[in-house]
Amino acid sequence: MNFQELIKKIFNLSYFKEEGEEMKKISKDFSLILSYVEQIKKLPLKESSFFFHQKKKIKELRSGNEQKKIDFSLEKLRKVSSLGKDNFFMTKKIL
Amino acid sequence: MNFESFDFERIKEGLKKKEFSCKEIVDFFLEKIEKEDKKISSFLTITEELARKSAQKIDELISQKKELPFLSGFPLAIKDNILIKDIKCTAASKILKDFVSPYDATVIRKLKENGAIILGKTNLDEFAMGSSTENSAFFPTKNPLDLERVPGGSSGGSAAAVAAGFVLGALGSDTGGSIRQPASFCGIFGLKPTYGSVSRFGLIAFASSFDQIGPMTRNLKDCEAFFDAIKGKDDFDQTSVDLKKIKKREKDLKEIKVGLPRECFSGEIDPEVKSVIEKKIKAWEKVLKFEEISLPHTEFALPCYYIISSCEAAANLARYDGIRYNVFEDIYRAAKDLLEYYFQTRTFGFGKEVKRRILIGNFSLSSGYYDAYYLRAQQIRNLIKQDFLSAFERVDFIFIPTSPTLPFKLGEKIEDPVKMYLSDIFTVSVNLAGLPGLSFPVGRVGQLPVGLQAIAPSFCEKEIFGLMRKIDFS
Repeated sequence: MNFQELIKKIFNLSYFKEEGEEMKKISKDFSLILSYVEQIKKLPLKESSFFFHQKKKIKELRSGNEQKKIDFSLEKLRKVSSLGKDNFFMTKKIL
Repeated sequence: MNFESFDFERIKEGLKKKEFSCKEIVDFFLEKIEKEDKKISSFLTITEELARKSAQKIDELISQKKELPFLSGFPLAIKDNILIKDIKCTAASKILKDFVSPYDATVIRKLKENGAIILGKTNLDEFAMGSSTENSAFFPTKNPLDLERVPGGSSGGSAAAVAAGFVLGALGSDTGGSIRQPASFCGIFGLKPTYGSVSRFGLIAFASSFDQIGPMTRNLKDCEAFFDAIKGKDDFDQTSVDLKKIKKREKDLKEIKVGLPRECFSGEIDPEVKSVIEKKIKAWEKVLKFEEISLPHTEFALPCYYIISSCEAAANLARYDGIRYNVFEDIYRAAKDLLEYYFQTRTFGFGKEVKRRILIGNFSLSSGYYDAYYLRAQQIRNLIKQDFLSAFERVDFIFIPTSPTLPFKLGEKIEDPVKMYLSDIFTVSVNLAGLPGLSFPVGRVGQLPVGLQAIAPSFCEKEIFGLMRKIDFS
């Protein structure tokens, strides 16, 4: 895929229209930034322990004092829903 | 009465002794903002009604001779990416220009409970993406110390409001240096707490694994008190931590060792900034022991930060579709279908810098590029964290200049995104490693301030404050 096609794909993925002067400037900046962040490729990496090596400890610190059981049953969700009718959730009609 | 030089204790004491009322405090600061903020543009919204209601509550407590809360009457500003119930919250973006928050962020709830007075919401770089506050969709903020220069960013409005004396403290958020760099540029104190020390519930997300809310103040005492008021575990933020469970390090801090990373004191730094810092370090040699250390992966920190934070930003900002939060009626009527409405809203609603970061993020996460960019950056993030862990086996604290330059001129870097990113070169490593960092003023070049960061191991914020009390940084 050439650079122009890649830019088009990324604009599309981001839900941005790719026309106009501003977008031309942004595409130019995009390639500038990309060449800057590519510096990370210079660093030779071994197999890394990644960043979850302390996951257990983090989990322990983040847990509250009491263990809470969360009930996500549909029945419970229906009960707490602020808007409902005949066992259905009511949502805003947008279009 | 002029309240500008007061700290939180003096305010509380004066209220208790009935030297002045809380209404007088509010009148003083609102009048000052009204008169002087036209030239600085630090505020986006003034919350006069909220401030007057809170002041009335404090004055009632005084007249009823009841106990006053911790931060009673302390006048504050809040960065406009932190939610306050029933107040507009824009994140300085057109896409949220009319959004009114339905609830309080946890930090706001805590500040209200502690009797603080919120005077307004401050300007920022759109969605906290930037280092100069020039990326605000509404207007740039100017540095009160030199109106031709930037106040730093992204919490530039908060820093400018504190430095100008419009408030005694402000909340900022720090994803890659957004509290510390503007604090340095405006000559004030700014703390980026450890990731998990302060709840992020009610903070508009930019990059969730980096974002932290923190205090910005005119003096050290207020900074510590302000941090104490907002810290702690919150059931609404699963990454927040119960600080009582943290084991304190068992080190005797009588002989404090401070590490100076050689990578941060050579190359990128402005010689005038370096000279101010080195002079100060020389003066502290009587009370602190300095040691040269190495953080070998520092050169990769900035590109690594821009990849990961942009990936997280792309995911977090996908929610802005022009239907939730804010509807754009004109665009809606002109669009031929829903998809076109999404495209038009996002193209119109986001500014250039936000778009650039979303594009970099979506690129780095897309198939074929994920391993080379996102995964690789995460691996480097781990190495950077390891660098700090190894350094803290040798030293108790690390000092790094907050910014490589003095506050730069408005417009000087706005057209070159990479040049602007380099402003954060000394702050992003702390976010990558999730550590606490306090930027404090150490001197001036002319009227322009220079800041230095004191960095400690995770959850050692109180030790940083302890260290600061030992040294003369005036």
